[in-house]
Amino acid sequence: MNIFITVGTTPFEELIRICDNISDDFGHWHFTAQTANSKYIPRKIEHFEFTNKIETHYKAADLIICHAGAGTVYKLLEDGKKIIVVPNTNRRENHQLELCKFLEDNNLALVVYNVNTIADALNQSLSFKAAPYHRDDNSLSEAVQKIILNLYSTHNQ
Amino acid sequence: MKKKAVILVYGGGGHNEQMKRLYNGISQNANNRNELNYISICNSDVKNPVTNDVYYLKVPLFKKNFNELYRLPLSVISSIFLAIKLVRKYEINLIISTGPLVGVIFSFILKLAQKKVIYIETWSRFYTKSSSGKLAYLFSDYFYIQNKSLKSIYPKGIYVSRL
Repeated sequence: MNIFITVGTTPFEELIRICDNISDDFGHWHFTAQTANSKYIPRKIEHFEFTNKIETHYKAADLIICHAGAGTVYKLLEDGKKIIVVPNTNRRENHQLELCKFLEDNNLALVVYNVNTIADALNQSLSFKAAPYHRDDNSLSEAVQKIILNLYSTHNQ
Repeated sequence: MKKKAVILVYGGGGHNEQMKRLYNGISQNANNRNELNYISICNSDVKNPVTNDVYYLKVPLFKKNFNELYRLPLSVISSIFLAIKLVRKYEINLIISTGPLVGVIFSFILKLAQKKVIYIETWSRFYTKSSSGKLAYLFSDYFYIQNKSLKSIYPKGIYVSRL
C-alpha cells in the first residue's frame, strides 16, 4: 500500500516526524512525504520539500495523509481519494478546524486531532468508507463573468 | 486609449488555488478575452500566479501572531504606489480578490478610486468569519460566500457555488 503525506506550503514538522517514526510498524506499506521547509528531516521514509508533479504522487497513493488545507482536501475529495486529515493547530486562525468539522459531519474523511494517534487512524482507514463528494458546477465563475461583461461593455470613458 | 484590465488580487496556497479555479472558470466561457487584460497582484508567497502579467506585494500573513505588524505601513504604501501606477496605465473597472489581507488592502485602495470590488470569502470557512473577510465585507460591492452555513453571519453574502 502506498501512503503519501502532504503538508502544502506551511511546514508541519510534528506530522512528518511521527509518520517517520511509525513507518516501521507498517513495514509492508510504502511512505512518501512532501514536507515543505521542514526543519525535521525524515530518516526512514522517502521525502522531498516541494514538487511540480504532486498529481503523480496523488495518483500513485492508496491513502493520503494531509494537513487540513482546503485546497488540498477539496482536490483530493474530488479525485475520490481516501484521506486522513490532520489539522495543523500551530496557527493563529482556526479555519482548519472548521473544515475538519465539515468533513466529519459529512463523513468525507478521517480526521486526526491528536497527531500522536495517527497510527490508529492508519489502521482505521482500512475499513473506512467515505461518502462521495462532487465538485460544484461553474456557477460562481459564471456569476463573476456576468459582472465583468456588464462593467466592461457598458462602461464609457 | 488605455487598455481595459481586470485586477485579480490573491495570496499563496489556498487563495492562489481559488483564484486559479475562478480564472479558469471565467476563461472557459469568455468571449471578450482578447480585448480584456487580466492582471495579478500577488502576495510574495504566491508560487503559481494565474496570469502572465504579475505584480508582487509583500504583506505580512499574521499566521501565528502579530509580530510583523510593523511591516504593515510599508505594505500599504507600496500598495498605494502600485495602484496609482496601474490606474494610470489601464482602464480598471473591477478588482476581484480571494484574500487574504493583500486583497483587502489593494481592493480598498481601488474602491477609494471608485472601482467595483468583488471579494470571495475563503472556502475553508463554514461557521466564522476570516479576518480578511470581515474587513472586505464592509466595503465590497459583491461579497461571495462558498459555504451556505455562512449566510447567517454574512447576511449580504451571495452564495452560488464553491469554486
